[in-house]
Amino acid sequence: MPAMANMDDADPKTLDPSRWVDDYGDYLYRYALSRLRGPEAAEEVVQETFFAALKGLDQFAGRGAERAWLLGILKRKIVDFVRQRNRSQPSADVAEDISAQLFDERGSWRDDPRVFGPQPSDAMERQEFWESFRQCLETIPLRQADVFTLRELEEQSSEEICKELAITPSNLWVLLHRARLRLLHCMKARWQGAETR
Amino acid sequence: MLSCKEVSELVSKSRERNLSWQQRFNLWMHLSMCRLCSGFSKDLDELNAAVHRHASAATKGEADEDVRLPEEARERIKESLRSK
Repeated sequence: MPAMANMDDADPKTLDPSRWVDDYGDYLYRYALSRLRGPEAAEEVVQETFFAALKGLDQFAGRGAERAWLLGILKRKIVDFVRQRNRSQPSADVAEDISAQLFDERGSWRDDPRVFGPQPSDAMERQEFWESFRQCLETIPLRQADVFTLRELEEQSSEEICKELAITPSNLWVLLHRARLRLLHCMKARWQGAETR
Repeated sequence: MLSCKEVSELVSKSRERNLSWQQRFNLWMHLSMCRLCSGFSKDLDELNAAVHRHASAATKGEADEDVRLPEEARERIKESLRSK
């Protein structure tokens, strides 16, 4: 029956979700891990992404854009995950602010804050950059790391993040500022340590 | 004259919202004279640019290629997909 044969010829990946895990599991997991920083969290959102994709299979019309479609679902799952884990977090407090460590009473830098030197762009291409950034992101408070991730890795707008996490614009910029101070401070230690090796 | 602490805050803030004319002027004044703060501002640009580059590589699947979904999780997810 030619009609049946045609149906069997339809994109086999689309009709066989169990192949998704082998085809896209690593890709989605890497992406999730870079956003959520924990293997368990990353596994969880990848699993939820496949479940949601299975449920929404009939809405998926396009061929060849399967990976992009799955990534779109994953990105929403990541935001949901971040929202939920921050709901139980206490809001930003003074202890999470390293300003006192970086600035004196008059508000001047205690030490030279500069990290990357005069030719930063060359240095930034180096592979170790990402590794030290990733490690630094893990050392800063969860909430600060999460808003930084949504803002700079996911490149969401301030408005989107405020809406998703139900925080005020001034709360957001304070969190981002604290994250930036901490990240650069941490990168300075690691980057310059690597430089002199 | 703004302090370095206030300037670092304005530098951050300027990335989230438009500063007032007065704030921009004060910021510019301070940055043109203070090599530590102008270095901080430049570092922040560099950091963001490098993070954006990495983020777009991750979207294309060209980053962290040694990282793989653990075998155990792979099997577990396959199994639960089959039972759905």
